[in-house]
Amino acid sequence: MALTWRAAVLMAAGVIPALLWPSAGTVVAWALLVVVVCGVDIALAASPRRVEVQRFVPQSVRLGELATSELVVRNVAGRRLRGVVRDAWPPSAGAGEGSAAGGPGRHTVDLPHEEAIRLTTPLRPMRRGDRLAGGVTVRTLGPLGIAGRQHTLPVPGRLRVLPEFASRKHLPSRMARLRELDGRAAVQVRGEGTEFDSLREYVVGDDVRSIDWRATARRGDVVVRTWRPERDRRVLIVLDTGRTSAARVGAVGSQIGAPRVDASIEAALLLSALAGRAGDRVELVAYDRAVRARVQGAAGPRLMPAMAEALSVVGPVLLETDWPGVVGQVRERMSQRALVVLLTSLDPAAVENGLLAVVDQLTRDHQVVVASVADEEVAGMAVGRGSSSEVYDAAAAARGGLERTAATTMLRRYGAEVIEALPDDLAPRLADTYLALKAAGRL
Amino acid sequence: MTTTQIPTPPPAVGPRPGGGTGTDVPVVVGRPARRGFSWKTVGWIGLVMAAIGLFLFVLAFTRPTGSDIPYSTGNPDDDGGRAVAEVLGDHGVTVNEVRTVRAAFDGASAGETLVVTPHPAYFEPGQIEALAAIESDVVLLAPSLELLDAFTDGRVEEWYAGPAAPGGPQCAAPAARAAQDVRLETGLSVVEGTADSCWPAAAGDGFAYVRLQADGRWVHVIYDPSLIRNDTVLDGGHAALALWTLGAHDELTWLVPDLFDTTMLDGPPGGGEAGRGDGGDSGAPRPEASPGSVLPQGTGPVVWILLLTGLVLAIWRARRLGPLVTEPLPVLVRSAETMRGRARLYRAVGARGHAAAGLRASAAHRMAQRLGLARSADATAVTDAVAGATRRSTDEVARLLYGPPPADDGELTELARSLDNLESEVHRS
Repeated sequence: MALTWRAAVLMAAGVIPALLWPSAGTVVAWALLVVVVCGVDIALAASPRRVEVQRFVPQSVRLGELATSELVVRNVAGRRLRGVVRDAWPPSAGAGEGSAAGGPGRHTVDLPHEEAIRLTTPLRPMRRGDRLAGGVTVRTLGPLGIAGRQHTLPVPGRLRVLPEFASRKHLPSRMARLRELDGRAAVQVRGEGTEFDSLREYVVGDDVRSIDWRATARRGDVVVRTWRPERDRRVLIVLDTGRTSAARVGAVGSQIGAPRVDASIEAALLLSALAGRAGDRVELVAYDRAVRARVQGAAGPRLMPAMAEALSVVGPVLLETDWPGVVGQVRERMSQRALVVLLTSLDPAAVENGLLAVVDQLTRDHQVVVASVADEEVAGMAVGRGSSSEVYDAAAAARGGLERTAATTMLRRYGAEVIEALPDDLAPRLADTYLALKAAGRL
Repeated sequence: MTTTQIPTPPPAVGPRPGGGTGTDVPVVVGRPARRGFSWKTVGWIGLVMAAIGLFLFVLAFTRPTGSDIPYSTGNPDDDGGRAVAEVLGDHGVTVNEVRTVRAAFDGASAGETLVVTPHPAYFEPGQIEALAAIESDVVLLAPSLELLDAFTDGRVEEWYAGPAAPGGPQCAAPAARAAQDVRLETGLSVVEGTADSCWPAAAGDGFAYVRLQADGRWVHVIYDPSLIRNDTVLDGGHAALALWTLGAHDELTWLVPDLFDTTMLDGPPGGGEAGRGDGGDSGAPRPEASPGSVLPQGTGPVVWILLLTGLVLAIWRARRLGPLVTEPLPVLVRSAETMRGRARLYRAVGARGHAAAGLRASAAHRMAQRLGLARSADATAVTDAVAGATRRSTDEVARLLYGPPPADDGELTELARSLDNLESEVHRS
């Protein structure tokens, strides 16, 4: 049962008879009249249960882009259906206004019997992950529009919101650098970790050390060898989804930033796009005390969709990361030397108790890169001199910085590469580190 | 829920524009669902009701039996009147405490006694009229001027005159003669007519007790009400005076006026200042003053209609269009939270030494890096290098970088700024 504003107006109209015949009987009679009118209107309204509803939702949408949820509502009530249909979505699905006022996803409908209508609700999700639709609520009104009936139909729907991958803007420049390494461009890099590619004629400017004297003797022409970086190396990205990944970075004023894991995901996406095109085999595991997501065996055009799909549902878990477990995961997946990228935080306490104890087991067999998201707010705290409390903040930030430096030094001593960058810079920095390692043949 | 595959696409809808899974979307058709009756809910409601019931029960039975209203017959405290009321009861006087003028008007009649204890607010003129219309004997304790005028026809005035003089009542009133010596304040004076004025003031013109006959009944006026208070009733002859005046008849109506008493605002029934009994145009008492009587006719039904409209409005707004959709919310922890916590900790305990050491170490670390010193360089090496780079004296640099901890917050701030200056000089060089 539901009433509309018209019912209130009808009730308020009782003021006139109450003034003409002021007695309690008038009030009772008018109230009864209103009840009867509402009852008749409800009885004449179409049944909200006798409606066929289908919901069409795209499989997935990238964060920040627009999707639409479509409802096809078919009236099988046997009489005209007038009323409101609500396509319910959780707030972070960012549902837009429909044709009816009062809230997002509301549509007015006026359907004769056996007819159907398509209702479109725009969705602009505000967070990564799966958005599960609520039910579809149908409120039918009687011919007077005073009262009606309402029922909610459970219509399942799921919209997967993929990571934004804003860092893809860095991809073209890094791809250009990769091609330079790859021998497709003019610059030749010769060094350890590169493999023989082909022989070609010497041109002025080539490194004389790369002249292949045997081939020169055979051909009677000066011939140089060309090299290209090794391919088919293995890259394992480990995304730490433990408690430290929940912390918000990049807070500005009262606006709280995004979780650390979001910046890590951006970096992971850029690295896998780059490494995938460089011909390396990329795998990913999101881990805290259990595997939260895993991508393996995907290559070529299937890699990035698999990555986006897997990373879309990864969120911070409020548990301490199990670093021996991480080592176990790496050992299980990587039998030969590989590039292991740990996307975690350099929180001194967490590093000392967790990562430092096991990093030597990883660096023994693999090239390890530890990438961490730094916080701008801490950097801002370190330079505050305005008041004594700001100086205390600065002192605390200075101490934290020293401890972080100490942890970084320890990690480097074990042979790990350490990157610490602000959220927006982490992805390009990690990509640059990857390219540098590749150029140096350290993969 | 009936979930079926649709055999045919809906007729009035064209083919779907791409980007979804059109073929395997189930059609959901509502079914007449009944909301399950939950014994659990009933149990909870029952539990809450039982708890409320128990609370009220305990409240009802643990309430103190006496009241705490001054001069009330049930009040055993210092400012109560329970002692006098009990003794009167023992002597066969029926004490009937009332809180409203109407109750007093209905309860007291000729041949009885009415006592009006001091009241916290003024009576309305109508109420005073109603009280004055009562035909019983009256004892007024510390009455207001209006009340006094109404009962004595203006024959008695009151003006504070200090404590009563020792040496007896000096009057013929039997109650006063029985009481003999009292410790009461005085302030009553008779301006016309005959009256018994007892206990003159020690210095000044006033009496503590006045007895007179007005409108065919005895009116006793006592300036100081302390004679019926539990704490002072035993002083001197207070008890005797109280028992003589209050216990003159078998029935005593004890009026303890209430601040919020709105009865008899229109005066006694029958209207006019002639008092009770001479009007009698109709047997029924006039209705009490209510907001309805001053508002235009028909207000009541209109108000009712508006209330019902409010109810309908509430139902309209309260009915939600479908249930709320829940959503798991993410954690909100700022990454800098731990840093700020540490800073607050430093500040709270005044750990200036720690704070200064942190600032110094981090500045020294950065400068050493800038100057290309090894990580293992000791304090002397750093001091020398920095002094060389900034052309400051070694002592000054050593004091800044490795000096004693600052004594107060001002010095700490000063140190932080000096370190900044030093660092900027190193970076400039």
